[in-house]
Amino acid sequence: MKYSSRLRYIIFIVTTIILIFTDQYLLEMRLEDQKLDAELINLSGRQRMYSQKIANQLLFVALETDKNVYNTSSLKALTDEWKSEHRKLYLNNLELHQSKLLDSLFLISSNQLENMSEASLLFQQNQSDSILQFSIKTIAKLKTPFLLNMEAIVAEYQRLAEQKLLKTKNVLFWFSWFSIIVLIAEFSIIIIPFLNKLQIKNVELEKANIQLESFADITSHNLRAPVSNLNSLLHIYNSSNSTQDRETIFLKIETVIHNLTNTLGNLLEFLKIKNNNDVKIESIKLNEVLDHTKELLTDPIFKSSAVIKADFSTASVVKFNRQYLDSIFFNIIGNSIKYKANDRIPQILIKSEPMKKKTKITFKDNGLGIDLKRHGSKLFGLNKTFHRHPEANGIGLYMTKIKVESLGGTIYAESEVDKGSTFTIII
Amino acid sequence: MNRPLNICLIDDDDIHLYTLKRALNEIELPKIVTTFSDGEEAINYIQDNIDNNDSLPDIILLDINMPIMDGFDFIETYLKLHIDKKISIYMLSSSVNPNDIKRAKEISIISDYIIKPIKDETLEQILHSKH
Repeated sequence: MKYSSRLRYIIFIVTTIILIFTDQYLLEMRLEDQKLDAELINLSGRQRMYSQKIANQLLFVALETDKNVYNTSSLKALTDEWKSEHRKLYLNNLELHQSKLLDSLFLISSNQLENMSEASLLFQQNQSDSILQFSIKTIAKLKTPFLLNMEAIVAEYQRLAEQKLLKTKNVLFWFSWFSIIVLIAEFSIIIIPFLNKLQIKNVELEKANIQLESFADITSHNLRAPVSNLNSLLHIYNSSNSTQDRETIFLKIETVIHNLTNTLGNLLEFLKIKNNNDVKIESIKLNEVLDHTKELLTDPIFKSSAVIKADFSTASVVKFNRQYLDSIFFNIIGNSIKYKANDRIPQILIKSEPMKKKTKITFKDNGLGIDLKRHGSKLFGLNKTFHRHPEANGIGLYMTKIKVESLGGTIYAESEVDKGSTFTIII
Repeated sequence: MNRPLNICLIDDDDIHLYTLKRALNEIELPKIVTTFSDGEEAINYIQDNIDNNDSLPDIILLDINMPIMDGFDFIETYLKLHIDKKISIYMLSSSVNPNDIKRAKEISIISDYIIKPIKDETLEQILHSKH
């Protein structure tokens, strides 16, 4: 249990970290890409600029009759650089973009340049008028499409970069959605059940704490009181000289010892419930429990002529511990008879109803009733009694509640003074 | 003061009342001891005698855990009665629960919180302080 919750916790943290790092990685990839794209655009822009220079110089070289004004070697260097960069871009495209448009643009532009260079070269080698005319015509004709071609290359690079940007934007967008969905899913599968479990544990702990406090109260009051009485009685006994007086005192000592034994019994029972590791849960027929209770209460039922009616038709079987349920029935029904109204025969109606996963059992009587506004908060408290009754010991309902709750059930009461009480258990 | 001390014991534990009465008898002072087995009975008595200062107790020894109306409920109701007479109230309980002790100390009209069993000397001191 512990291991699996820790594992879930680790899964949650690890996936969160993975998501964050993936997102970061995608962003950085994008930035890197953008840098490369920018470089390419830059490069193609420069190539375009060079091409303009080259085209102009070719034209000048052709037009200039005095060969020495323009240095052909600088033109050659320019052209070589253009060619090498052009080749680089071309290979880069083959490798990375594989854009057919770029591919053909590269081929066309390099052909165009080749043709222009050839025309220029032709003239330099053979400076006849007709060739000059031809060269100038060729270069002038090729110059504009060549430049437009180079322009188109830059534009294509820009378009490709923008396309890529859009793509990464899309990826990042869907990745964000994916991350959100994963986190929400994990939150509801891992964190919320975890919090719920914590909440339940917290409630259990609080309950346990309250019960422990009550336990401290039992030891504090129920044991200290009789022991203190015994000490006082012993003190009086020792200082008494009359035999008769001593006998009276001794009878009282006996009473205290009897009470003390009872209290110890209750304490042991309480401890047993608290360590309920081996409490057996079984399917119990409610009418069997009631019959058993009636047997145990034969005498009070007979004396009070109590009428007990039961309706277990809609839920006849519950899953609980038999001893606990016996004692719960015994206590609640016993109370109904013990605290009967003086002017009427006790009537007790027990009814069971199925609930979602549990069973609701109500015990309705027509007894004295309890002023719940006044005593409500103490009804199931330890050592709380609400009627001046010689047998009221303030432990029955407390133990009943502990037994119901120790197996995950609930108990509550409704009551009206002089009308009767209804105790409800949901188990 | 020649009038006997009026002492009121409120406790549901018969044995404790018995030992307390025996202990009080040992103290040689004129006194009247009245016992009640829960807070409500005592309140009823005080209400019935509210105009008769002599019948009202001088000292109340009050238990905490009692049916119907426990010690603290008694104090609450008692305060609402606005009694003129200066009555010393001692809480006498076997509870060592710190909550009970703290609660008792916070109520100003409670003279002291005494854990049972009360010593004879303490009982004597209480009586003499009133006499």
